[in-house]
Formats: sequence, structure tokens, C-alpha cells
Amino acid sequence: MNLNPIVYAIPVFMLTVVIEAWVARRRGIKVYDIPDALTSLHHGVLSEVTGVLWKLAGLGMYAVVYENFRATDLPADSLAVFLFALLAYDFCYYWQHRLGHEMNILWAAHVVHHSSEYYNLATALRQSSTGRFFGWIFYLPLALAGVSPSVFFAVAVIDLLYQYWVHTELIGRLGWLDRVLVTPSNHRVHHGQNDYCIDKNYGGILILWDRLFGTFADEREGEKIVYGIRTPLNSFNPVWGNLHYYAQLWEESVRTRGWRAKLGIWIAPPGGWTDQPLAHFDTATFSYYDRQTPTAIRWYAWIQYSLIIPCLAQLLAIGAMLPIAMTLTYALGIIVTTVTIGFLLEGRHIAGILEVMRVSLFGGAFAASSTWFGFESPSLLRFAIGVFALASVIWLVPHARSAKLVPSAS
Amino acid sequence: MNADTLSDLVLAVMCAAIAGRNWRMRPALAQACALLGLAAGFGVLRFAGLEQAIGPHRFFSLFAACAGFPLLAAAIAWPDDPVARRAPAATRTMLLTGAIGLTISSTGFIWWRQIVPVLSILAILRATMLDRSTNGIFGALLMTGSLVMAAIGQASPVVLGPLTTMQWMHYLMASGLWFMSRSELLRVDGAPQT
Repeated sequence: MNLNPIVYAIPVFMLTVVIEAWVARRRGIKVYDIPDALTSLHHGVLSEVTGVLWKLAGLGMYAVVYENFRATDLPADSLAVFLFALLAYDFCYYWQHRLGHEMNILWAAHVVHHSSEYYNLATALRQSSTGRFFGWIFYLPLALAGVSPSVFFAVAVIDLLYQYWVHTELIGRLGWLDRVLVTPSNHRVHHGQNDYCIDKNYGGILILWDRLFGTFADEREGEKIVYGIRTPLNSFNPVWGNLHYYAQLWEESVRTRGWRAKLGIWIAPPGGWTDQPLAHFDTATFSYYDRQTPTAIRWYAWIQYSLIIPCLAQLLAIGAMLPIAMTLTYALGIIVTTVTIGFLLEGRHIAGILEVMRVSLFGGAFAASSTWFGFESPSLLRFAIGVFALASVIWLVPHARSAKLVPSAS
Repeated sequence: MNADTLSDLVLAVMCAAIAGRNWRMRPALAQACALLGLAAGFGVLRFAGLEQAIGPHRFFSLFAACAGFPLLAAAIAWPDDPVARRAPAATRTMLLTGAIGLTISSTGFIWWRQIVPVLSILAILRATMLDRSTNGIFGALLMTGSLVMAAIGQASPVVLGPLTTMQWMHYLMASGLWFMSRSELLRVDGAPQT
């Protein structure tokens, strides 16, 4: 079985998130907000689920170009080829990432990663589900050069996993490393809304690309960075998190007159083609998105999230081998779970009834069937899940009502 | 040097010259020519006997058909559009139309690489006729001829008079681009935008 390496990384991600939250708590620094962190993790789940579905669009196009148009065959077992591929990938990543910020249709995909107002390891997992649409185009030089899909996949995973550890406020400046590699310090700048942070530090592993192409900014002492996006997401719904900027662009396109202008909106930078300087952002006026979700609901959401993880791991492991209808059903089930939990965290009126329906349906289905998408589930586990689902429903009925009373964010 | 190499070389040199002359003031025209020139450049290497150039030549020919022609249309038919005036807009258009073109072509719809250039040239022809731009009209007609040659010789090269259809295509395209780059529509007002 050719397992997705992300399956192996999931326990590491979860453990390090918990450790970071614990260390931050001990130091008295607020770097986590439970609904925000859960939303980040839900985005990560969604990204992996859609990754199973969109596989053709990502690595698929790379493989098509490699198979049909490559100049030569670079040996897959050569260290020199591997290092060349890693360096070339990182260079291409810089441009993909840069255009991801400077071009509306690509920003619509990448904005997901920046929509958290906190900066922590969970934010690293807040990944786009639609980035695969066009992201592959930037890596075609590697395919043409003859870097095999297996090497490409390996360096892509290395580049992605490297970027995990830099999403933390707990690691300070690292001296000369901050000027060579992407580090927590210079990546904090990348996630900032402060004027000096906008459109800076796009590198994946090497920050040298930014220094070379004039997009490097050093973290400033004494100026607290405010994270997030200037038009805040204000939602814990990961599906909306992925689609909100597309919706905004669509509305703008509909409003605009003339087909060239309508199309032009999608390639323009966020804010349109203008030679004016960026509007000033006053960090003092910033306020976090907070629905004051009750503690009980937060814990409930965590527990439900912890049950998604084995399901996600299973889908990643066997999704490609299942009949497509089953894969789609499983994927839909996981997506619905992230959305209803998001609704609960937001205190939406419909959240309680949706969650009761979801838990009853999934818990009941698991308890009633001996196999779960190819997994032979032991009777004890089926019984335990059935009891858990029932307990969840009983608990939810009064508590979901209380969630309705959560005041809206100011 | 064989005749195929020569025809690709002429096209590559013409594209390089137009791209170089227009790089700052007409970025879309320059980038479209650079893309067509890149394809032709790999063609020169391919027909000179370098096997490694075969794949890139075919790739950039496809990419130029899907992305270079729309850029050419934007440059000449709508010279005041941000895509024609701003280098980043031109590059983004190229990437997006190229990605869409590659995706569609990979699904087996091979006509895309012919439909896009034909529509682009029709747009140029319409604009140049409305503007009564003699150079532009002549250039667009030559480009139309080059597309006809490409279509005739798609399955296998056909000899028409002294040249094969592929060689005709290269020469007609080179001359078409030269005339179009001198189109009266391309009067530039003001400084280029970044």
C-alpha cells in the first residue's frame, strides 16, 4: 500500500500542537483560541479530503507533462538530482506563493492559510482545498527538466513539512539563520497584517529568494504583529473559509460591466490594479473574531474532532482503492462533520439539530455495520461508538440550545 | 543546417527581435513573442539534432498555442487593457490560459490548441479591420495562413511548392508577427504600467 506520508505525520502534528499550547500556557502567552485552532485543523482535514478527490489536478498534470514532454530522464536515485530538485522546487514554490498573494484567483485559494488571527502550529495546518487547481503550473519546469514524479512528490512533501515548524510564536530570532532560511521570525512577518508585513517573505525553505527578488522584510522589534487578513473571515466554517474569496470575486465580476473587465478581476491583484500605496492598517483598532463559544461546546468540538482524525487517516490510506461513490460518501461525511462543528462553535441556530442528525446518522451507521469503508470493525468498538453517539445526542439536546444564546461578535 | 532548422531559426530570431523591442512598452506583445520564440528556439535545437529538445519543443508549441495567442490578441486588439499594458497582468494571463489549455489538452481535446489561436487571430483581424490598420490586417492574414498550414500539416508534413507545411507555418508566422508588431493599433500613449 502506497501510503500518503501525511498519514504518518498526523500524530506528530497533533502532539506538537498540544505541546505548543501547553508551553504557551505555562509562559502565559495566548497563542491559541480553541475555536480558531479547531477551525484551522478542520481546514487541514478538508484540504486532505479534497486532495484525495483532486489528485488528478495536482500531481496528475505534473505526471502528464513529465510523461509526454520531458527533455531527459534524471535518475531518481541520485543525491545530486534530489538536491537539484529540492532547490528548484523551492524556487518554483517562491513564485507560486508570491503569485498566490498577488493574483486574485490564486489568492482566493491561498487566503485560507492566512485567515487565522492567531499564529501557531495549528495555523500551519490551515491549508487550502482549492490550491491544487492552478498551483501545478509553477512546477512544470521540473517536469520538463526530467525530475520524475516520485522525486517531485518527495521534495514537495519535504518543502511542505519544513514549513510546519515555522508557524509558532514561541521561537524567537535565530540570528543569521533568519537571513538564510525561512524561520519562525521571518514567517511571522509573512502572516502579519501590519503595513510592513504585507506581501513579504514568500520563501518555503530558503528566504534567500526573497532577498534576491526584493520581498524580504525582517521582523521589527517592539512592533507587535497582528495576524490574519484585512477583510476578516469571521467564520468557523471551513467550507466557507475556502470559498469566501471566490464568492467575493464572483460578485465583483457580476457587478462589473464588460467581459474583459469581468475576466480581468480574476487576474488582478487583491485590491485591483492600482499604483496607489496600500491603505494604512492601524493595529490598535484590531479585534479578534470571538463568538464566546461556551467551554462545554469547545470540549465537545475537540472530542468530535479527535474522532475525525482516524477517519481521515483511513480515507487517505484507502480512498484511492475504494469505489468512487464510497470515497465521495466518506469524504462528504467528513466535510459535513467539520461544517456542523464549525456551526456549533459559531453558535448558529441550526447547529444543534444538524449535529444531532449527523451524530445519529454516522454513529448509528458505524454501530450497525460490521465493516466501515473496508475496515472490519470489532464488535466492542462498534458498541463503544454507538454508546458515544447516543451520549453525544443526549448531551447535545440541552447544550445545543445554550449555544443559540451566544452573542454575535462585535 | 537543414530547412526545418532554418525556418524555426527565422521565427525564433523574429520573435526575439519583436520581444526585445517591445519588452517595456508593450509587455503582452513581447511576452507572446517570447513564448512563441522559445518554442521556435527549441525547434532549432530539435531539428539540429538535439534529442533532448524534442519534448520541450512540443511542450512550448502547445503552451504557446494555448497562452501566447490570447496574449497576442490582448496586445493588438485591446492595447489599452491592463493585460496589454502591464507586464504582471500579461504574465498572469499567460499562466492562467496556459494552465487551462494544458488541462483541456490533457483530457484528449486536442482541438483546443487550434481553436484558441483561430479565435485570437479572428479577434485581431476584427480589431485591425475596424481600425483600418493596414499592417495589422496584413499581419493577421499572414497569421491565418500560418494556422491553415499548421492544420494541413498536423498529421504529417505535406510539401507545398518549395517548402513543407511546417516551414510555411514558421515563415508565415514570422512575417505575420512582424507586420502585426507594426500595427497602427499599437500606438502607445504614456509610460508603461507596472
